[in-house]
Amino acid sequence: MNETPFRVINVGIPTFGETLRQQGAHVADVDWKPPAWGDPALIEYLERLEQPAVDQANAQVFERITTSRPHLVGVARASEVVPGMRPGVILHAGPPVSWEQMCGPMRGAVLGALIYEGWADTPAAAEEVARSQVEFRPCHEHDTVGPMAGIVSWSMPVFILENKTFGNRAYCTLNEGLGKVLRYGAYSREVIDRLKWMEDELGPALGRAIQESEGLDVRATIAQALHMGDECHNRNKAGTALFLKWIAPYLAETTDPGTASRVMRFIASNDHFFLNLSMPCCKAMMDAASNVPHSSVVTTMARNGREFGIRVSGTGNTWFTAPASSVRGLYFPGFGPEDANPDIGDSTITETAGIGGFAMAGAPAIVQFVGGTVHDAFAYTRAMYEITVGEHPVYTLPNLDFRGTPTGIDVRKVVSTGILPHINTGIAHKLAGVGQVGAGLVNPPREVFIKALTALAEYLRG
Amino acid sequence: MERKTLIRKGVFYDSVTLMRVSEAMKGLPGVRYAAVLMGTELNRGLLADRGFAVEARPDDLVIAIEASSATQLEDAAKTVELLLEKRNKKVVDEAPRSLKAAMHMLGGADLCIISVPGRYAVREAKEALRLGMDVFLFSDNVSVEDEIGLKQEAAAQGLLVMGPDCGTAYIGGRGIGFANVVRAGPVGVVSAAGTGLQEAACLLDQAGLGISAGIGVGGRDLSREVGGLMTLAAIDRLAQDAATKAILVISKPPWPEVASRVLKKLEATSLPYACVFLGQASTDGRAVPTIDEGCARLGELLGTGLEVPATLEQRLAPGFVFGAYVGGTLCSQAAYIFKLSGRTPATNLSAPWQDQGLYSYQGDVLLDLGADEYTRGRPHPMIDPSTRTDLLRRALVNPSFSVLVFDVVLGLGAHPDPAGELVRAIGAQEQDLASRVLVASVTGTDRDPQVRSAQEATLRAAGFTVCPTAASAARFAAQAAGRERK
Repeated sequence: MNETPFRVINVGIPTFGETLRQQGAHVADVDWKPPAWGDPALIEYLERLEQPAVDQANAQVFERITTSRPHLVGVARASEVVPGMRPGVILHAGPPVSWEQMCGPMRGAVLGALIYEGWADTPAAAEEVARSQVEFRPCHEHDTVGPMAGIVSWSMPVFILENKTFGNRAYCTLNEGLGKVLRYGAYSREVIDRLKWMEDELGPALGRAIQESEGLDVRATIAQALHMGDECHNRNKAGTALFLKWIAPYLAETTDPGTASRVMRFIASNDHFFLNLSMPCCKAMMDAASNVPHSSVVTTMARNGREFGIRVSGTGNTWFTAPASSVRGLYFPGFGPEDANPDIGDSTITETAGIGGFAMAGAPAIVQFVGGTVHDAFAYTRAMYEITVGEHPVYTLPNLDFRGTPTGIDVRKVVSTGILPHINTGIAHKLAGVGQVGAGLVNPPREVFIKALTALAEYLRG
Repeated sequence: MERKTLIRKGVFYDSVTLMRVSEAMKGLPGVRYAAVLMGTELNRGLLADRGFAVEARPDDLVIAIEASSATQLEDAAKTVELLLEKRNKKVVDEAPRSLKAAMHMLGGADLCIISVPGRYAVREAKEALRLGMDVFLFSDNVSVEDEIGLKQEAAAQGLLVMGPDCGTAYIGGRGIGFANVVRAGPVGVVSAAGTGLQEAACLLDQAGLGISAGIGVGGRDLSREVGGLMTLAAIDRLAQDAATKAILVISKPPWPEVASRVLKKLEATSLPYACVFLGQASTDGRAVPTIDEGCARLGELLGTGLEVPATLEQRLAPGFVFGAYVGGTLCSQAAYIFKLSGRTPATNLSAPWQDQGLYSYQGDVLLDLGADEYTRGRPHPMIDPSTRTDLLRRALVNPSFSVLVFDVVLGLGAHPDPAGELVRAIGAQEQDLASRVLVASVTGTDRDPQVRSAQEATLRAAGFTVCPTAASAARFAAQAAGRERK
C-alpha cells in the first residue's frame, strides 16, 4: 500500500521480518546472540562503560591512530636507538614471559641471539646464560615489535620509524626471509651468518640509502599495498615490491654495485620483507594512541607463544593475558596440527591498527588459508566493522567501494557482540629451528577482553 | 607401497590452493603421503627428502602421491584433478550481528523490531534509538523505569518507542507484528498496541475509511509514571503526516492529568479526533467507552457512516459468562462493558486469577490469555490456540457458565484457522451446548490470510452468534446472561 522504501531491522522472532518482507519492506535480520556471552555480570560492566566519556576517549584514540604518519627515517643498531636496550637485555614478542616458561621457538631464537652476540659459544653455554644472566623484556614495552619470536638483541639492525604527527618512534628488526630463520627459533650457523651479514652489510646499506632519501611514508605505502592485494600481515608481496622500487635508486647512489646487488636480491627473494615495516608503522600509530584515560580501544595485541596479551589505551601498560589459542590453518607438506606451536608474535599489531585480518576483503588471495572463498574474505572484514570504532580514512579497500578498513578495536564491542578479532598469521613449529609449518586464522582468547573490560569498569568506578 | 609423481607443465596455482589440495588428499583412502606443489627448488628439496626425485621447473605443478595400493594411488591421482577445480562453498555467515551492521547493510533504517528477551531488549532498543530509528518493542518484562528511560530518549530525538509488549503497528504503509491487511486511509490510530489497534484498523477498513498509520505505545503509556510520553509523540508524528486527516486514540482509562494533556495535544492538531478511554465516557463526547463507538464517531466526523450491521436476535441463557480472550485490550473492553451493565466479572487484568476453581466458580469470568501467566514458556494464544482449549475444557464442566464469549483475531502472524480451532475445542466437549449461548467476534478483514467472512461462517455453522465488533459481542453476552444473581 506504499511505494516508499521502508527499511526495517528485525532482532528476534523471524516471522516479524518475514511478514514485512512480504509487504515489500527491505528487512535485515540480525543474527542476534545474548551480549557478553550471556554473562549478567559482564553485561553490567558493559553498561557501566557504555557512556559518553568512553565514547569521547575512543574518538580521540581513533583520531590519534588515523592521523599518525609514520615515516621510515633510518636504520641503526638496536643498541643505538631502542630505549632501554642494554647488554644483557633481550626483547621478545608478546606479553612478559620468563625463560622457564618460553616456548620452543622463542628459546631457540634466544640461543641464536646469544651466540650471534658472542655472549655464548655453544647452544649449551647459551642456555646457561639465558637461564641466569639475561633480562627478558617484551618488545612492546620498548617501542619495538618483532614478528614470531620477536627476538631483538644489542647488535641487531632495526628500522627506525618516526611518527611525523606525534613525534614518537617505533623500531623493528629487518626480515630475515623464509626457511631456517631466527624468528622461528633456528640458530644454526647459516642463521647466525645471515644475521651477521644483515648487521654488517644490509643494515648499513639500507641506512645510507634512507639517509639519501627524504624517508618513506610507510602509511602511504601500506595504503597502496592494500590496493594491490596485500593485507600487510600475511601477504606483503606488493608492499615489498613497492619498497624495493622506492629504495633501489637510493641504494644505487649510495652503495657499491656488489652490495647493492646483494641487498636487492635479498629483498627481492623475500615476499615478507615489508612485514617488518608494516608492523612498526602500526606500532607507531598505536603507541601514539596509548594512555588516553577512559578509552576502551585495544592498543596492543601480541603473543609470546604461550599467552595472548592485549593492552588497552585507558589502562595504560597493563597486560591482560590468557593462554594463546591454536591457529586454524593449512600446513606445509609433511606437517600437521601436532607440530604447531601456539599462536606467537607481535605481528598482530597489524590487526590492532586495522589491517591484516581486518583488511582481508582487500586481499582475497589469502582467504583460502582458512578454507573459504573470496566471499568469506569480505565477510571477515565486514565482521570487524562490528567491533571497531571507525573506518580508516587512508587505508581503503577497493573491493568494498573504498570503504576504510575497520580500525580501533573497542573492548566493549568485542564483549557486547561476542565477535573476536580475526587475525591472519603464520604457524611456527613447536620445536626450535624447524621454522614455519603453515599459516591460518586465529582469534584471541575471549578472556583477555573480559579481563580488560572488567579492569576498565573497575577503573572507571575507582 | 605405491608412489607416483605427476608433472603438469606451466600450470600455476597459488601456494594456498595447493596447500588446501594437499591437505584434502591426505584424507583419501590409502594415501600415506601427498604433496601438490609448484616445482621450486625448495619444494623439490622437500620432495627429495621424501624420496621423490623430480625434474621440474618453478612454473610446473608437481603432484606426488604415496599410497598403499595401485588402485588407491590412481583414485588419488584422479581426485587431485577434481580438487584443483573445486570451488569451496562459503563458510562464513554473512548475517549482521549488530544493529549498526544491519543498518549499514540496508543503507539506513526506519524501524527496528525487537523481540528478544526483555532483559536484553532494552539494550537493543537504546542502540536503535542511538542510531536514529523508531523502535517496535514486542518484548515484555521491561521495567517501567526502563520504559520511561527509553521513551524520554526517543521523545528527545523525535523518535517513537512502540511498546513494550507492543504486538501491532502500521508504519510506513505496512503492518508490523500481528497486523491485519487493511486499506490505506485518512485515520491515524494511537493505541496501547495490541488487539485494540487491530480491532480499530479492521472496523475502519470495513467503514471504508482505512488508516494512515497505527502507532502502538504500550499498555502503560498513559499511566501516571510514563505520563503519555509516546502518545503525545505519536500525535505529533500523525499531525505532521500529510496522509493523516483524523486521529483515533485508544487506551485504558488514563491517569486524569495525562488524559487532559492528551486531549490538549489533540485539540492543538486541529484535526478531527476521537478518544476511546475504555469504559469511560466524557460528558462533552470527546471520549467514548468502546472501540466501535470511537470508530463510529470518527465516521461521523469524516462524514462516512459506519455500516450498520443487521440486528442480531438477542438470545437468553440466564447464568454467568465465561470469556476467554486472546486480545488484552478486547478483554479489558469487555470487562468495562460488563461493569457498565452492572456486572462484576472476575478478571486477570491486574493480577493473575486462580483459574483452578473454574469448574465450580459462581460468577462471570473474563480472562486475557495473552497475560504473562498464560504465555510463560509457550507461544501467544493468537499463534497457539491450545491455551484457550485447555481452559474451555474446565469452564464447560461448570454448568453455571451459560454464556461463552470469545474473540477471534486474524491477521499476519496469527494462527491460520483460529475459528476452526475454537469450534473444534467446543465440539470436543461432551457437555450440553444447546442450553448455552456462544458469542464471538472476528477481528479481521477479508484480505487477511484467514479471510474474515470464512471465519465468521465457520463460527455461525457451529451455532455461534457472531457479533460485528468485540464490544458488541461483550454487550450481547452480558445481556444474554440476564440479570446478575449472586
